[in-house]
Amino acid sequence: MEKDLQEKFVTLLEENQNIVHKVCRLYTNNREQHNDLFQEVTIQLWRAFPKFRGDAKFSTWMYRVALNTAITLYRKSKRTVQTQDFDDVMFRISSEEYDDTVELQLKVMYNAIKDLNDIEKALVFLYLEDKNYKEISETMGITEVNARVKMNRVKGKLRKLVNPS
Amino acid sequence: MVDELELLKKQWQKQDETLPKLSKKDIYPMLLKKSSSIVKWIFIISMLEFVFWIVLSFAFGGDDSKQFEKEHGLQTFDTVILVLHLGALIFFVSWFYRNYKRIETTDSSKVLLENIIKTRKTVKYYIWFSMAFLAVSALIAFIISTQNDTGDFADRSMTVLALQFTAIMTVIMLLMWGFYKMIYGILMRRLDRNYKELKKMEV
Repeated sequence: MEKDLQEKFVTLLEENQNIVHKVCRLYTNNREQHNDLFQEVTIQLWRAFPKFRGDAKFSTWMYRVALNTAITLYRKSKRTVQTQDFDDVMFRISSEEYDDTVELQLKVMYNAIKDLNDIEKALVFLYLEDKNYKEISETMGITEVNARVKMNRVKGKLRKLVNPS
Repeated sequence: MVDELELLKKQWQKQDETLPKLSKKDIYPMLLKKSSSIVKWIFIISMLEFVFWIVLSFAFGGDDSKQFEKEHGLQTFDTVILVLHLGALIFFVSWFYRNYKRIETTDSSKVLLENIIKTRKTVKYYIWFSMAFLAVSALIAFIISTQNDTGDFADRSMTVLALQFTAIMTVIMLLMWGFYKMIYGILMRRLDRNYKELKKMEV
């Protein structure tokens, strides 16, 4: 029984692991921290899995547990050295599509997002993942109106950071 | 005007091929590892704080203190204090455990943060209670022992004794409170900050 549950969980996690990796990418600064957070999210998901009833999508359920772990449970180690290539990898595939100026702006925007506080970062993450405000509000535990208002403020803040003039 | 956030969103959704790929073989051992979450630390440290007060209440049970209690008529008082403190301890530990069991990572971020903060606050109330209890019981013990004095305090004036008692109690209380606040800060700073940020959105 336990083995079946484990097999089912590992299969689902393997299929949906990108969600966790993307949360880790946004909330950590180097490979070591990324792995630590991935490990902690996996433990939290596994602990909560027996209560997963399947009436919600596994991926939706994962978003919540992964973000909650990043925002509340994860103790970031003091080693916050950012490795050079850690975030750049995301932009490697963009070089063919955009010119250097746009690519630079994207990098500035991405770095500005990484500098946001934990809660703002969670909002932006769900926005980047194309989640609607209903889902964002349910994940964060705020009203849809407040999620929308806050997101607009964060967007304004980010645009100002990228285009100071 | 080019909207960088929209561009980034497109880029964000295309990053899958740059993400690490773990196999089932990599994931299985992860299930066996121990959590190092902040909730686990809150549980361990809170338990240590409960144990600290239990140890403290039994620490004065040695032969010397028993002799002192006998000489100063504090035996009944001491038993009453112990029973009251143990009763309060059972109440606070069960309250703490009830709150602790409510912590679920599948709740919304706000509810999760609320439940963690509520759990930790149970310990704060217990510490407040224990400190007040210690101060009041020490004061009563001081009054009883000076009234039943058999000679230990005879050479000192009541005012000096009262001042000494107040000074010692104040220092002990301040040290305990300072130590508790320091631990609270280390454990809860980030959680408090994130909870405030979520609450701010409601204004």
